[in-house]
Amino acid sequence: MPSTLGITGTARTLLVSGVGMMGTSAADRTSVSASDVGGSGAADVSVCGPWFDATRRNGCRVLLGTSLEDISGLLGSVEITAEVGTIPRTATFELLDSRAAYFVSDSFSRGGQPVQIWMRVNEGGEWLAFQGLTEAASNEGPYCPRATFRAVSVSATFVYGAVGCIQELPFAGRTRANLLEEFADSAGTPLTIAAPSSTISKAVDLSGLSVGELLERWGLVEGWYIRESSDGGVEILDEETFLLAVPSVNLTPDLYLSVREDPPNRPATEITVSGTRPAIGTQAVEGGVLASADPPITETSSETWTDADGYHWSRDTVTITRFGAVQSEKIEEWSDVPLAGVTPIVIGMRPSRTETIDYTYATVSVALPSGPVLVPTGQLTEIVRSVASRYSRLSSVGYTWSDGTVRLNEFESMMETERETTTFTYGSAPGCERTSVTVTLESFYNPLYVTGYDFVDGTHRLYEFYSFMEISRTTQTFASNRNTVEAGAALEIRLTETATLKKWDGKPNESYRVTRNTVTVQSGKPGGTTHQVRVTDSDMSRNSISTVAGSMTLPETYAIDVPVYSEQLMTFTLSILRDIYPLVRSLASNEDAETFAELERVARRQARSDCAVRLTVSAPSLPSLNVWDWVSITDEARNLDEKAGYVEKIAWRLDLLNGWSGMDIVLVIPPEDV
Amino acid sequence: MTTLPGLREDIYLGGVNLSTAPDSVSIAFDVGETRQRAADGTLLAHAAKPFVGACMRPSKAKIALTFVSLTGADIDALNRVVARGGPFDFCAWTWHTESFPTAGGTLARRNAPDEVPSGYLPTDAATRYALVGTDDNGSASVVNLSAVDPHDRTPFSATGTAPIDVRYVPLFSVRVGESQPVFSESSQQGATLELEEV
Repeated sequence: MPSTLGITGTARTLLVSGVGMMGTSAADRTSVSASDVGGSGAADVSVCGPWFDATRRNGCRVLLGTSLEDISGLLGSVEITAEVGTIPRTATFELLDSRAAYFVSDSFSRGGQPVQIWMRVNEGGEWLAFQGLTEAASNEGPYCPRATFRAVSVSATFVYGAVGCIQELPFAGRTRANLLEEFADSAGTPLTIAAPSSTISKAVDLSGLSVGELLERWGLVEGWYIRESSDGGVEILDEETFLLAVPSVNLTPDLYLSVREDPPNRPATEITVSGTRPAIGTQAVEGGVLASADPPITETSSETWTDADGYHWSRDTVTITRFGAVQSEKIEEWSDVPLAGVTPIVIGMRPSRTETIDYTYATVSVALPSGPVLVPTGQLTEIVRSVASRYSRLSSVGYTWSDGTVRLNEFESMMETERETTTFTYGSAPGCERTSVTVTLESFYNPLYVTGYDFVDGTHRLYEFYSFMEISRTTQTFASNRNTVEAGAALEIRLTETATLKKWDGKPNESYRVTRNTVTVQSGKPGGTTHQVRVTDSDMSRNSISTVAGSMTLPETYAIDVPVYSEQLMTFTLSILRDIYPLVRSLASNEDAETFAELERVARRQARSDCAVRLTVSAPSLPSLNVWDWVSITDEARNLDEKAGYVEKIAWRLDLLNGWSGMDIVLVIPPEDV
Repeated sequence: MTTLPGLREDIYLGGVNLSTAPDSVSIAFDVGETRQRAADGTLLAHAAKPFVGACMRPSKAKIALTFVSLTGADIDALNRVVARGGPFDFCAWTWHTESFPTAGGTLARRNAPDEVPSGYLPTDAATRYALVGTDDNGSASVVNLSAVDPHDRTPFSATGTAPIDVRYVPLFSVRVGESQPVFSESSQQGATLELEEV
């Protein structure tokens, strides 16, 4: 028998009021429970007693209204339906009663009335077949109103009654069950899921779904088989237990009236399900665990050319990537341009220029089978670009080169001539907004100084020769002064950005100072179609106010705890029944699956349904059956010898006047080994 | 007491005894039971169990009475019944048996000798039409009737081995269905009357 892993929650009992919603006496299910039947295979009908008797007497009670009145004006038949894909059960019954009219006091027809349907057979205990709430019912009839009531079971209120929402960052280490519990909280219907569940790594951003819809959707990839439980709650069968279950009853020809067999019609014999899985670098992440750590990946490219002066050049570019993030780039150029100097020297191919860019990221720990590893996040913290080229420092005294300049050395040589360092800072989680960018440029320079050293270009400078120093620094700060201001009666958001430029400037002597300080303030109302931009320079050289269409430009955000990752395409293809049916392809995608195993699960589940033979069996009713139960059937005419299938739909029908209590069940017999 | 065939008393209807014997009486019992054949030919019989303690084959009666010629008083009584519609009490002083799977249950009708007013009872009704209980062994079962419930049913307890058969003269609660006066000759007036058990 399938074991059940329950969802428990408080909502379902809170939502239904009324005296003794569960009845003052619990349904006697021990004598009719499917677990009493079965064992390893064939049903022992003697255990189940009166429900299997060829001759039996069937009764029914319908309790209706807030006081659960045992109503007596029932007509026709009472029907209850349970089916796969819809968690709650539905029931219908017909009532001849003055309270079926709307304007009568204590009217039943306004909807939302509690209803219980109890069934019994012979002298055995009653079975609570249904409990739920009615929908509004129309009525007709000239003398006394007659109405057909439709009711939906109590689980509907908490699985479909409200919608929820949830957002979660990628790689948060949460399971779908955790997330579903939070989602249900947001819908106002808290629940606890005890079923096994996988840790996911993709981002989650869901809204507008009901709890039931999300249960069904994630149940596909998790292998959950969801149905309403006997007490009106929701229960989940895990896939392994479902697939290994033995039939709870064997329908022999004395236990059913008729069988209709529907074979699959042009079933898909090749089912392909595609999806994406998260990957860090080239390695997939499954259940929050990185399969293995990428070694650094080196990509190289080379080119050669001849310039207009006839000199030969070559350029090699090397990019090193690890965990999907660029670690460094190096561009190395060689040429046979003569070495500059007092007398240029003709040389062969020599290094001419090398540019190196190194990237530094904030890191986050990701699990590996062998232990954790630090991988880059999206928060780039520093870029250092260093350029080395052939150079000799300009000097007030020294060697006079062929180009007329005076240099410290006789010839140029490779040295670092430029370094640009860009640093980024970020705010703390959860905002993680980029708060500043600072670009510092260093190069060889010598500030102008009136009484300094004379240089051949006619300038006077502070030092005898050029030195490697910081020559500029630009700093931008973003939204450091973001604030929310009550402007009159309207809420307004202001984002303040400052940009400063520091460089060598001034006359007659240069000093390293701030030459520009610009403040830009964006302001606007949340959700507005325009916003105002006010720019103010420190020297008042630019001061403007303008109205700009669209929303404000917000600072960029990069999560501190999310690694740089990509989504790899994956597909799973299942071939079935190829020896019987021609090739028919089915293509589907599943955005929730994160592993091949989950894609396979989805594909097999689709195959079990689409490629199945369906038997519709009319039989005397059995009270304990539920959807997803396994039942076997014997029918010699169809060569069925205890052939097992799972229940896809049950419709119970009790004819109140003539006593017949029957059911139509749809059994799904999936292909072998699916 | 051994069942004597035929109608041997005045018909009790609507609170009066009709002095005219009907020319034909038909009492059909609509049994709440469905029979179907299972796939292997087994007969599956499902009976309704409309209330707790119901008998094994619950039924409702449809009664058709035909009078070729009525007395004036009977004509007035029938016209009154037709005009009001019901429910009325009806008793033809015929025997009816209900079987119960347990030693106790609820008779679907009232026991006529206990419920018909004394002025309208046949002679020695309590003796001649006394309720009889028999258990599964064929032995007498002592049946103790309780007070009639609001549905005109009679709960009871019984002794002996179930199932218990209870033979009694039921007092039906009926409503008028179809009715029609019949004038076969100018100076005679009969009637056809259909009654349905409530």
